[in-house]
Amino acid sequence: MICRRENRLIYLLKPISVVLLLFSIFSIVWLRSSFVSLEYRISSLEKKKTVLMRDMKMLAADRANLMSVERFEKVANNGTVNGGFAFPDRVKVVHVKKAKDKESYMAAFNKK
Amino acid sequence: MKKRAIILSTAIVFGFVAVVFRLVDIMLFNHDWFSAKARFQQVRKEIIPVKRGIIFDRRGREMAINLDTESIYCDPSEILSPDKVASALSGRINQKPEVILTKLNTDKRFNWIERKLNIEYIQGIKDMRLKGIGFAPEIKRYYPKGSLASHVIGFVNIDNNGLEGVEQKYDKYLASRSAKAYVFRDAKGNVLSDGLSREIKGNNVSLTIDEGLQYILEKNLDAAVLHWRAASATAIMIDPYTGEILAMANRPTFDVNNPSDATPSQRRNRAITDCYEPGSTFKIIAGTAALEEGIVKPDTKFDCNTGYIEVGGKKIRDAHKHGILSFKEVIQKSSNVGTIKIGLNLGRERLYEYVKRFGFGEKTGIDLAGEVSGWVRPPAKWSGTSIGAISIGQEVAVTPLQVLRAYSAIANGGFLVKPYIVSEIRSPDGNVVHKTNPETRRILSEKTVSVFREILKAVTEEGGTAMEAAVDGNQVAGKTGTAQLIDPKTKRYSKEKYVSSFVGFVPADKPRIAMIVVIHEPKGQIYGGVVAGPVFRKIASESLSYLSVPRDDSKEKRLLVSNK
Repeated sequence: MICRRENRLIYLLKPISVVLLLFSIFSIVWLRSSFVSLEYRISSLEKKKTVLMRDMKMLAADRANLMSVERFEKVANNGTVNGGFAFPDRVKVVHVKKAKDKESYMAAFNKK
Repeated sequence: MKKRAIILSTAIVFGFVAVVFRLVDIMLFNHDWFSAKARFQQVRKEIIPVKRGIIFDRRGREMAINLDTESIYCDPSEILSPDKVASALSGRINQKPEVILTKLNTDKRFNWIERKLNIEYIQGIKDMRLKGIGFAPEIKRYYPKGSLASHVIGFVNIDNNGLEGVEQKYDKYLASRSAKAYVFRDAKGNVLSDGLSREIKGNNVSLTIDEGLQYILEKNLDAAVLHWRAASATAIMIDPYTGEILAMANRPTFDVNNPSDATPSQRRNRAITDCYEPGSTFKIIAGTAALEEGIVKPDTKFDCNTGYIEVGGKKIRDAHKHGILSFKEVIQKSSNVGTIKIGLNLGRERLYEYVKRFGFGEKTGIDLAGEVSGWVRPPAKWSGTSIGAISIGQEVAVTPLQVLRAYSAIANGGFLVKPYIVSEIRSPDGNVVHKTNPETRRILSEKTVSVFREILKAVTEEGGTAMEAAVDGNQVAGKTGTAQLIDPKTKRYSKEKYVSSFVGFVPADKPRIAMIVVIHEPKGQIYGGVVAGPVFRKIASESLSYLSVPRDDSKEKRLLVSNK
């Protein structure tokens, strides 16, 4: 009786082992190919990133150029801004400052 | 049927045996050779380009940044038709075909054709798919503000090594060692990325320079050079309490993005490399020394009636006859006779001691390359006229920065500061690598400084030599200087070539800025108060507005003042 059961088990185990073996071989191959394809994808994304980073740096350079005080004055004096470029009239300057970090902002008409 | 099966089986067995033999050969007998060959084909060594650190102004505005670019190189052994390649490339890059051809006709396997080409040209060349022509990524240094602060920032060479200014002085911080990385590639040469980010960055440098103040300074210096048709000019602005350089400019100047187009003369930072005789701006040495030593009081009288004084057999004259002058008036009216009398009362040793105490004859220690120490002779080497000449700023050679530093000592209450240009250096991840702390040492008493500050205020008031340097809303303390240049032909003082200067600080009682303006060889006028004074006023006025410094008369209506 026991011998019969063992034979049946062996009979079942054989195809299972073959299937498992095939599955593991396939998994390894599949994993490896997925890995390689992922590497290709990362590489292609990196290329895109490089181009975008390059563009970003160019834009940063343009921004730094455009934000220069020299350009502000040129634009203002070309009439784009009404009245041209003028430094603040210090009679009209309002200085507001916190006395301490936790205190509220203070302002006064007379020197304190 | 059976025979066929045997033949097929035998063929399969032989086939497998052959494969097994080959595998054994590859994996056991010639493993090392095949392994090396595979590595050679699959792995590529790449140089990771180093990105220099960014240079910021004191408000975090970029003064020097990096751009990604590419360089073109060739492998002449792979080029079949050099003439065609040369003519094709010359249409895209700014080089003649003959020049390119010489680069293609060499024995070397690698030769640069054009370094750091503009990125818009690269794609066009790549599209031509020229055999033997390759592209290498490189980093190009770019200065978005053009010529602004060019002498301070400096520039780099083609290999991104600092050559001048901050770029040179702080090269070891800005640059970093390049490294190599190994990347896998397939049979077509496509890179298989491991997803690791490879970037080498240098440290970021923060300057004490303020772009806004620098622009104000340079704009007005340009106007002054144009107006006075001057040979050259220098202006420096400093925080007198800390020694932070807020702005520094020279004329002539150059575009840092194209330094090779400029002459060495244009590239020189005259503020620290060029010496001149300071003339009357040097009178503060004898003046403060006399006060400090208790030799004079503000109301001590000096007889300047004759209009000249003879020292060591040489007559030194005043520009005008002044009569009897008080000590205060001697400085206010810049009397040579009065100042020489003060110098004579002081004596050689004490005068020399104060010259050295103010830091003349030695480098200020500013963190820029090329600074000179100036020239001051010890008393043992003085001639009979030296005590008179040195009292009025002759027979000494100083840099504009040294003079400004001396006046900063009056502005800040008697401390000699060490000027500096870099306030902080941070690593790419934001950690502080270096921080500059102000260095000061007391050279004058508070009492002397307080008295002398009042005297310097009088210089820009009615009766002073620099009324045109007065700023609307704030009192200016300062001193004019008009010095003759030596004529190289006659080796004597020229009657046509002068150096006109004004150095001062504002607001006089609690200065926010100290500044010097030096104009070399102005045409039409020579006096410091007339030539440099108005330049000082214009720059100071705009700078105080830019810095939102309250007016002295800030109690007037509409002005709102904090407890700043």
